[in-house]
Amino acid sequence: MEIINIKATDETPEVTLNAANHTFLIAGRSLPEDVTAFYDPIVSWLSVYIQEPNDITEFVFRMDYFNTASSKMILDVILKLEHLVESGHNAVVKWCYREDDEDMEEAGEEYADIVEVPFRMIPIEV
Amino acid sequence: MAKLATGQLSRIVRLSVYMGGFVFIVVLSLQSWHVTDAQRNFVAKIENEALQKLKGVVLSASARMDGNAYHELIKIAPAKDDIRESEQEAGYFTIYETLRSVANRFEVSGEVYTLISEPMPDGLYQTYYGATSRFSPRWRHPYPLPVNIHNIRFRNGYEKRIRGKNLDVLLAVVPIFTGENQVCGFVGCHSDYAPVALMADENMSRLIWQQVPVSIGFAVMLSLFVMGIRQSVFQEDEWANNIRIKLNNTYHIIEEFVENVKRGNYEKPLQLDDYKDDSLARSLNVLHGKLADNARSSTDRSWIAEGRLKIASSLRLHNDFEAMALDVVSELTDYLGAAQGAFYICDGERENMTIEMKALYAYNRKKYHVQNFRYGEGLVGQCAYERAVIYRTEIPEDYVTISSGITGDIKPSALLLVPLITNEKLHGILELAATRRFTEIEIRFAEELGDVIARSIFNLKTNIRTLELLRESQEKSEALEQQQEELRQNERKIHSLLENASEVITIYNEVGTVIYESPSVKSILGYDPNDIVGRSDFGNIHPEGLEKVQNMFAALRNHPDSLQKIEFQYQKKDGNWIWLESFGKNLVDDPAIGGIVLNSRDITERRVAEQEQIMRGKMQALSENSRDIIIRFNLQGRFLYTNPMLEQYTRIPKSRFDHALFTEIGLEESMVNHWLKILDRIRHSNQLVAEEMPFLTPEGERVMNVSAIPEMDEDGRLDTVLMVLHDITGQKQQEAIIKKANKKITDSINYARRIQSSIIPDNGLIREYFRQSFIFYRAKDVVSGDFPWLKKKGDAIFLAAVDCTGHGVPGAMMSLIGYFLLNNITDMPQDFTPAEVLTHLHEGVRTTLRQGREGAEAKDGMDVALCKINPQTMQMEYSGAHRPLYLVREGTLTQYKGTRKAIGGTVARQNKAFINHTIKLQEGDAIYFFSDGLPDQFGGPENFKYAPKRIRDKVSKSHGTDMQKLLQWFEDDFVKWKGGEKQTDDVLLIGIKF
Repeated sequence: MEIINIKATDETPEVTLNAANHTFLIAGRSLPEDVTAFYDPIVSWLSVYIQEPNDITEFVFRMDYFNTASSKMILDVILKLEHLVESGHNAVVKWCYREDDEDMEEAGEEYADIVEVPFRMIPIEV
Repeated sequence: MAKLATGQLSRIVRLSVYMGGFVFIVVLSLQSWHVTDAQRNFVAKIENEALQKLKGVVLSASARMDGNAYHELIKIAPAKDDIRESEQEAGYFTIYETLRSVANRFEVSGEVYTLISEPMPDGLYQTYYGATSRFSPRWRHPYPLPVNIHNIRFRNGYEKRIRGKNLDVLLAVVPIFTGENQVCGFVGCHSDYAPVALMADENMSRLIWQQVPVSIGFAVMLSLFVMGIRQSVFQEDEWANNIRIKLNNTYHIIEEFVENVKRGNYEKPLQLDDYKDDSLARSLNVLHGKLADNARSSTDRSWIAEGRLKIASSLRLHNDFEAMALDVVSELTDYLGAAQGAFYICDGERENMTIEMKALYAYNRKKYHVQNFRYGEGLVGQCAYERAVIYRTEIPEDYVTISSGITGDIKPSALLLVPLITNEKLHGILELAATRRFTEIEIRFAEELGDVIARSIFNLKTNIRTLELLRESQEKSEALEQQQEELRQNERKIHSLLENASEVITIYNEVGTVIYESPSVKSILGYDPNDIVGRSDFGNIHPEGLEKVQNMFAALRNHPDSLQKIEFQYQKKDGNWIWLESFGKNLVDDPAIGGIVLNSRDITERRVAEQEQIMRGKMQALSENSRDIIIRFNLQGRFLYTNPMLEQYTRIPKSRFDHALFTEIGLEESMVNHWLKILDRIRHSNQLVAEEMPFLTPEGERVMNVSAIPEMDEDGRLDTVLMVLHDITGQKQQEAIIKKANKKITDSINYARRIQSSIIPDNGLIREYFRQSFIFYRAKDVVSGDFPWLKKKGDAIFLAAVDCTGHGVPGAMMSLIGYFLLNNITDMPQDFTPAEVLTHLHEGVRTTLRQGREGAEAKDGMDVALCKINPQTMQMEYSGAHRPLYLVREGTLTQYKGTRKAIGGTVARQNKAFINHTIKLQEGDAIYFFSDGLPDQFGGPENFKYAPKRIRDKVSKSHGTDMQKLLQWFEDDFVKWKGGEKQTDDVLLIGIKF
């Protein structure tokens, strides 16, 4: 499977999707002008991945900020993981946030509420 | 003649050295005797000599007897395997018995020092044991009892060191003396019963050493005999007077006899007429005869020894043959009492031998008479031939003038020729002439000397040869030194040449390590030869040239006879790059070089010139094909070069420009003036001028971007100007279009803002309802997705902070939907709680954006913080869609969290209801609610989010603060936090204090 490796910018997060390496990561800020253009390849990649997933999929979010539009796209990403869980695979979201960032903490909790994917909330010391 | 005594004593000592092992010396102390000073001094001298020979042993007399010491002595002695203890003891016994008898006879007492010493490798004696024994007439002990001597230096473990070594002679030296208490000699003996007599004359001036077995007994017996007679005479009765007289005569005869013996006068035998047949008298006469013989032979021997000593000391004195020869021959002639002596030195072998007279001595003079002989010629030559002593007593009349070196002024009765031979080689001949016959002893003496003198000649020859060799080698080394100096100077010359050469010579070994670098590297490349020698300098070669260099080395290795040439860049020590041209040659097989030699020189200037040439050519081509106008002119404004584009633009043939002034061509005047102005500016500033200028062409005006570049000559003075004119007419037109379009868009957006501002409440409006309040509102773009909303319905006032998805124009459009929907909902007659309003708003957005449809794009919506405040009743209700509200009461902040549910959008998995909070307000309470724009703003020291906590911290502490000041603070703080960062989103913060 191809590897997605996007470097972080001021407006887009770092993205690493590498099935062979068991790395699934979105980290940083997400406020692109066009969220669909940024996130579509990621969601498409996941659609292919969930056809033949690893035994365990550990998806790491380590967000500093995302705008409302991005939040919907992140939900789409997490929903792909929900598909995995529904089809009996092992998937978990590691939601990392700065320990003093209550917005990101809350956002994680909110996603955890909405979807049927195990969430692990991981505060990071500053 | 005390010297002789010393010699004798040293011979005693030496004798014992030859025998190896111990020396056992007994020296008699004469302290209780009546002796003369001369005698005492003599004995003291012997003692001192003995002590000196024994090096540092300190003896002092002590009479304390010590049985242990005796046993120690006995214990040491038998360590010699071949001497039995009894024999050893017998040796002592002999000594002490002798001493005791002597003491008894002469009624004297004395002390014997006993030293046991071992010769050491360095020639000294190490004394292990010392003892002294006292003897006296009353001594009756059968054995001598050695007594301990204090102060003697004993050595620890001496027994061990002695055991297994050969023990040496035990030598006793005992005095023999007469009734007048005069010492006439010493008696000694050693352990193997070979008694030694050391005889001294009455003056103690001459010692005669003799190994005569009977002499002890003789001396002792003689003494006893004499003393016995004397005593018996004195003690006999009257009746024996006759006999006494007889005996007295006899006594006198014997006394005379003894006196003679004592004086060494052996001529008269004992003549006792009364006791002719007496066996004792006969024995005494027999002994007398033997003693006389011994004395004679002893005299002869010491005469020989003395002579040898004399000659030997003469031999030692000289370093050249003449002096030695004269000294020896004179000494010898005198010693022998001869008339003349000659000394010859022989050189060469047999027939080739030369026999040269080195010295002639006659009648106590040196004679200057030189005569040489050939091998076999005359008596001298015959002596050389026979290599044996020639002794002639019948001398022909003419002998001396014919076959002898002896001068003819005497007629010798005897001639003695002695060959000087050592190690079977003849070194010289001694010729001695005397007016009497030579005695047998004298001949033996001369013969014995032959070897000694020959050895000295040999040594002297060796010394002379050594000196010659030394001189030769010194001369040689001086010559060598001079050659080396010349070499050094040559080397300095070469070094200086190499140092100042314009080429660097580098020698590499086969693996590319530098083994030699010429000193010129310093001036050419800046390196010290030591920087480079011993390692590879390929690191200094430019990567582009490295392969070339490596190829060259490979080529040199494959074709050792070839000469390779390459050019490459090399980095100097100061970091600058230079071009080197290197000639490589393989001289690995040349033993003087043993490597690959590179001769390199700096060709940077040539390369730069070449590069420039190439570059100029390239530039020319570039320029000829350029779409820009390129011209070069001098400082007078005369064209030096124009490219084809100038002709194309101006329609003036290129040829007309060549070396023409600007003004001569018929160019548009304003253009010419412009160029002259540019030239003027460059002449003043020497700097590039870049600007736009209009360019008139027959087709109409164009806009050109002009770059005028000053070009300097070699001295850095302005020489020419290169001007490039780039046509930007098209670009200008495009810019104008975009500018126009942009203005339209900006205009319309600005108009849109006016519309948005007209519907959005400002600080003035909110303060009409709440005197202490503010709206901190800052759009990211011209128009905003955030908006505050305010509506009065009855007594209640609705106040909201709305945050629509997105920002800018799309946000603004959403905000209008939100605005109108909120107005519509609150226009309805029902008295909705904020939660109900939000529920309707949610439905309204979904309906408006048709988000209920299958597959609808439904990301858009809004977050809202909505309050409904009744200022009269101080009743407040709050509901939030994703937005919280802060209530600050008396410095304490309470957070009312919004419902986790957005307005609009399709994803509503858990169809949550909006929570409605009811709050009873108090005087002084303050409320704050806001969009996420402020907390999400990046910036600050860590470039992180502003965060809700910063808002909470500020508002909690702003209990008494005026709300306008708080607004001001947030405005400033926001700008400060944001710093250089972009604004993340629209910012909206509303604060009210009651």
